[in-house]
Amino acid sequence: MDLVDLAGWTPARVRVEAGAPEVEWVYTGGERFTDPFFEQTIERVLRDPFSLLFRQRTPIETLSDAALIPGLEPRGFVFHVSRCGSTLVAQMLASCRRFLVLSEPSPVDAVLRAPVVRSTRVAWLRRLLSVLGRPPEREGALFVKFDSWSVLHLDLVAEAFPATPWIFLYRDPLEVLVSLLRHSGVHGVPGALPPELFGLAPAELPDLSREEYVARVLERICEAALAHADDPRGLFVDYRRLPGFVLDRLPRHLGLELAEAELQRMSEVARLDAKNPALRFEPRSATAVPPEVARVARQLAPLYERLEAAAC
Amino acid sequence: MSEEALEGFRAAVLADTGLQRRLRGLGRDEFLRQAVAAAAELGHDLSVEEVEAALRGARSEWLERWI
Repeated sequence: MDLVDLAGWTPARVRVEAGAPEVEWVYTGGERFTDPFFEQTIERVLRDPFSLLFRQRTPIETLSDAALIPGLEPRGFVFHVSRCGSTLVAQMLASCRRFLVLSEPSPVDAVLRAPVVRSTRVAWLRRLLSVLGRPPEREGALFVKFDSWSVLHLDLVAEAFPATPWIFLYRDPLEVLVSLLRHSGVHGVPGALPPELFGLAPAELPDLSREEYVARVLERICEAALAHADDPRGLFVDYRRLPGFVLDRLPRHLGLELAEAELQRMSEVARLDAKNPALRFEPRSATAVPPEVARVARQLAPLYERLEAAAC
Repeated sequence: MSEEALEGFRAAVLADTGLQRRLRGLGRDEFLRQAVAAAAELGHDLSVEEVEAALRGARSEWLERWI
């Protein structure tokens, strides 16, 4: 594949399940990734008939060639327990035109969970982010917000990018549980992701209530982050510290100097609903917590205390 | 639909950045017109209906591969 052929093309998907691993490229041109999620920007681009009809697939080795034109080195990673303000953080960063923010890019998840040896995943991740980090225009720093379960691969990410600082966002497990049970993500549906990812055998699933399953997922995610609590590049941040944390401590942690106008834009974004920026953010009013939810949340309380102890 | 004509056209477009520029950023109707004309210039016989069907197929394939 001639590198010229891939200028302006984005690796939108990586498939490794069957046969030879391949990358699916979508022409995105200079489109900025400003939507709350990577996939939404890809969907927006696919409204152009050209981008829809002329996608192309290549062996994953093409990433090696494409990475010869290196992109931005990641400046910061966002890990999270889900439903804890991570999309808000991503949207605030993306409000700065010089930043390229990739929010839960599915190709990254595919590479992290690929059934290949670790060294191969490390190499693929480096090449993939190098290609994804090619700035279309003016963007001077790359940030990646991972899927919540990607923190289970934090050691691999750290090996691939040993100099990149990261944060782990968390929230009172009761609130996360309630949110996930109300509107589930893929990790809140038993069996939607391989149960082994969360230390469960497939045979265990039928014996778990939905509440117990989600609690187990949250527990594994938080434990994975806490295993890196001593990493000086990491910072544990409670949901309650948002959005102020993004305006003061985060720039220092990531080594960013933000102009007054950029801080102003970030503050304006913080007033919007991060997952639907057309709406203003409205905190949800408290609802009665079912006894089963309260019961499993109590089991997670010690974990929350450890997160609080690890927090900045 | 002639799969052969469509695949031949797709391959030709992906190999020609000039042709790609011609087909990008167009509304659906204009894209269909330009695609049919470009295909004809390259010797591939495609109708508007066939390109429309190819677009529908591309959309379905994108969604199916996601599931």
